[in-house]
Amino acid sequence: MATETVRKPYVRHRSAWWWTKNPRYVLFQFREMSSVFVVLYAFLVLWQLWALRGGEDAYYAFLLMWYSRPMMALNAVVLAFAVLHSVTWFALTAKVPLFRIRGRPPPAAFVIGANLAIWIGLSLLIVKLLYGGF
Amino acid sequence: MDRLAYDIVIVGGGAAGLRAAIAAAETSRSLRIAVVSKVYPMRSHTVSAEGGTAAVLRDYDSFDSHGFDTVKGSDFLADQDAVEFFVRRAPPEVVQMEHWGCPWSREPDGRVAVRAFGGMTVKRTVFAADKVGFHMLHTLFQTSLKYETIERLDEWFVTQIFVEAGKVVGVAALELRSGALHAVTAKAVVIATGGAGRVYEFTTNGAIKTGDGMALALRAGAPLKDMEFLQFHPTCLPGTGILITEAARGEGGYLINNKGERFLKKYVPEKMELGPRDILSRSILQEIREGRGFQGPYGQYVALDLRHLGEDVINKKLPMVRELSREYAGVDPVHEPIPVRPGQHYIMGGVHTDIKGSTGMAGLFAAGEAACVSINGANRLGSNSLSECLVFGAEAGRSAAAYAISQPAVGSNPATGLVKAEETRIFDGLLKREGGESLSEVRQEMQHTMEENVGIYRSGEALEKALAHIRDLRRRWDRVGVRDKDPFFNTELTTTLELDFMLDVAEAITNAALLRRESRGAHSRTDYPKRDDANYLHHSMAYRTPTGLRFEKLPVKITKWQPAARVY
Amino acid sequence: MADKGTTKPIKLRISRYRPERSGEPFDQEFTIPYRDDMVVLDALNYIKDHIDPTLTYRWSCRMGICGSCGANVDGTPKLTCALYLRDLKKRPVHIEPLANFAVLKDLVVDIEPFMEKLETVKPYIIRRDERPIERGEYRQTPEELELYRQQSLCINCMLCYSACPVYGYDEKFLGPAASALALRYELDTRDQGSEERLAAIATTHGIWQCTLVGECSVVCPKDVDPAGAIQQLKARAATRLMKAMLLPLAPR
Repeated sequence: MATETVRKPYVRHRSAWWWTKNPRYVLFQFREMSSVFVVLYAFLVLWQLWALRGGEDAYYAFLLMWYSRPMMALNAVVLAFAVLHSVTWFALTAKVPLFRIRGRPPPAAFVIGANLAIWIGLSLLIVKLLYGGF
Repeated sequence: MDRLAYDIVIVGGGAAGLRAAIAAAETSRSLRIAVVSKVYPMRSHTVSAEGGTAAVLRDYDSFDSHGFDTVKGSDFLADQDAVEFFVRRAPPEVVQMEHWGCPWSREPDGRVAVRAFGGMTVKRTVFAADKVGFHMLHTLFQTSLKYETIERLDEWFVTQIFVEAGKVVGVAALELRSGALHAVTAKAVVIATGGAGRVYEFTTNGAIKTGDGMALALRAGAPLKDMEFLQFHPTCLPGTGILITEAARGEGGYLINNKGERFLKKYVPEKMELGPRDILSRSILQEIREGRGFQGPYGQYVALDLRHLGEDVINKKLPMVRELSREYAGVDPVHEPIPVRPGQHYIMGGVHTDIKGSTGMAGLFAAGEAACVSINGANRLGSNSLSECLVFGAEAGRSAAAYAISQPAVGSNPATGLVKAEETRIFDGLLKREGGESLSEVRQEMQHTMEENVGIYRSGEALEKALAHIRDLRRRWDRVGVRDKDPFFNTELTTTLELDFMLDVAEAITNAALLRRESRGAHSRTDYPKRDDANYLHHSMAYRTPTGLRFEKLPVKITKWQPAARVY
Repeated sequence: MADKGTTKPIKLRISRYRPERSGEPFDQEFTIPYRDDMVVLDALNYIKDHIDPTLTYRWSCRMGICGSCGANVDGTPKLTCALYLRDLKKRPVHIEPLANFAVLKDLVVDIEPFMEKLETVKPYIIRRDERPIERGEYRQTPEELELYRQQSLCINCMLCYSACPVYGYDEKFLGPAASALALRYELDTRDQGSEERLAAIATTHGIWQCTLVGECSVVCPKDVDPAGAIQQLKARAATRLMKAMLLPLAPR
């Protein structure tokens, strides 16, 4: 048995549920999915702007629908995903050090903490500007 | 089986093999070079070397100093012309590695740093934290990717070197991926397969160190030189045999017995922990035999204390020592001493070569641990081995290139004719064997007998016993069955072939040890405890004949340093 | 190795692939004596030596530096020589070949795709001008060495490729280890080949394919942090692109 053709290596099929195998994969999938909800909210805001064009009565009807229970539930879900989206985004800021302190990159906790603080601070500022208070 | 033809085939993809390949490629771009390795090159055992690479780089150092340290370390068995050549070529090799990107550890001013090492009178060991072999191997491998003329045959297991009319014409190699045996024609073959630690039970060496190249050379008709000289490294982790680098002592570590004493005061009062390895291993064994060792689940040991170095130094200079101690000994060297005992580590002997890396047989070259030039004589100084791989790897590569260029173009491929017999031997002979003997049993018996009888201390009686046993194991190997009948990626077949090689090497080691009736360097005979320059200042040369091994003497080349008493 | 006194024997379920027997991998169970200081590799060696010599797997150094012995153990990519059986909770212990690679035989996978990727990143010092050897080494301070030290520690074990779902989906993806190696040379002060190297890897299937799952850095046994390395490469590649667009005449 001198000659052998090279055997074809066996390629394993990956299950569609691969991401359930480990909590970090699950978080990753939800993180990626959060973009969908962020985009969805953008369309909801556009819808709101469109409703404004229809005049006062049309807008009033829109607001009735907007503050209904199902809509509030949807908004809660979107908020949760938006927060997940932002927090996970900021958590990655430490991966690319922009400067070094004594030869080492700044500690990840510091970088992420600083970014989160600025984000929350700016968000609160915007709320104050838009609504004149909390 | 197809027709593969190269100018140079290098067997083995470690430091010496890759350095040879690069040197040959740089000699001429028209040469076709193949690196044939039974593992992917990043897995070569060079990767596990920890301590450093010695070279004269500083003003306070000199070639004579490095040369004398090496010759004295060798117990005056090293060939001094080779040593003088070696110490002069080591510094440019270290700089070349640096230019190729090797991440040598540095002084604050940016120069390559040096550390103290065993048997070296001054600091001349260049290092890369404590992972020098890892960094050197990856640098050489990655650099070799630059050269288009270097081809690699990864996971091809060379089973035979073909010789026709006294000239090398190629090799037979088993391609693991397909299970096919190939004839690879070559004008020149460079053996760079490393050492043979796996003939012993307790060794720092990885699975692949089975002395393949040494057996291949022996069978091809080239002699093995100084096979009786094995180095037992003083500090290995009990149980696993994992190496704890000499650099730990170089950075200031102490060896302690169960009384808390730095016992080396009794054996090497001047050099203490930085004495040469053969003396240190014997000293540790002595302490243990006299009851001053510690008892553990894997036998007795002594302690390597690094606590006084402090966490900073350990993390910076010895990070892998810390990793290994925690992972494999359950001990953090910052807080506790590391349990260590001597274990087989290196073989000074190997395929006989001259300074140019040539074995004397037309077309056959060797370099690295597989070769014996000899610069290490009866005992090697730590950190000389990696320098040796670079210096003589490069030399062998250049010599092979010059030889290949001088040879006429090969007409028909001679190796393809010779491979048929090898195919029969492997596929009809070995693979079909049902046998009655167990591969692992034969191997374990060989390892055990070597460990017991051909270790740090030897006696004529024990050696005779071992030799008879090994010859018996050789006969039993003929009856080892191979259960895995499929030649495709058959590691049972390759481990059987490796055992075949190991038995050859074990016999050469044991027989050479029996014939050397003196103690010199790492070879300690309890029945002949003194060094005998009058009768034994020569190398042993082992040749294979149809009736067994034949031994000859080769005089030692002395240029500068007359043999003297070896005290530290 | 001495026998430390055995406790209850341990059962392992190992994935086998024997092309000559069947077209599909199948599981086989083995029961072996157990010592509390056994690593998974010890178990494999025991089986090969005493029970089934046909069991096929890669290993060499047994000290976590050669990178040969990667396998998926209880679903996670690990080095079998560095994983103690006592740290595994599930019984039987489930050993499979490294995920995301094609299987050659039993636990041996085809790593040729990875070897090709290594070459793509031009993993060697590229210089416009070479200093002659006689003039000695390029100066590099300990601080400069520290810049790329982490990325230089990769042992090519490919656990990161097994952990990466992007690589699982797209086998043309450059992947974590190859990218980390690219960064190692990027950050090495002696290298002058940034232009060519970035051009080779800042491609669709190169670093831009990474969606920062981050599992590669979690499984890396040497703390190379390939995930961070890829993000740094993206930043460098993007910066280069911006510079080229906004300052086309500036030197690179």
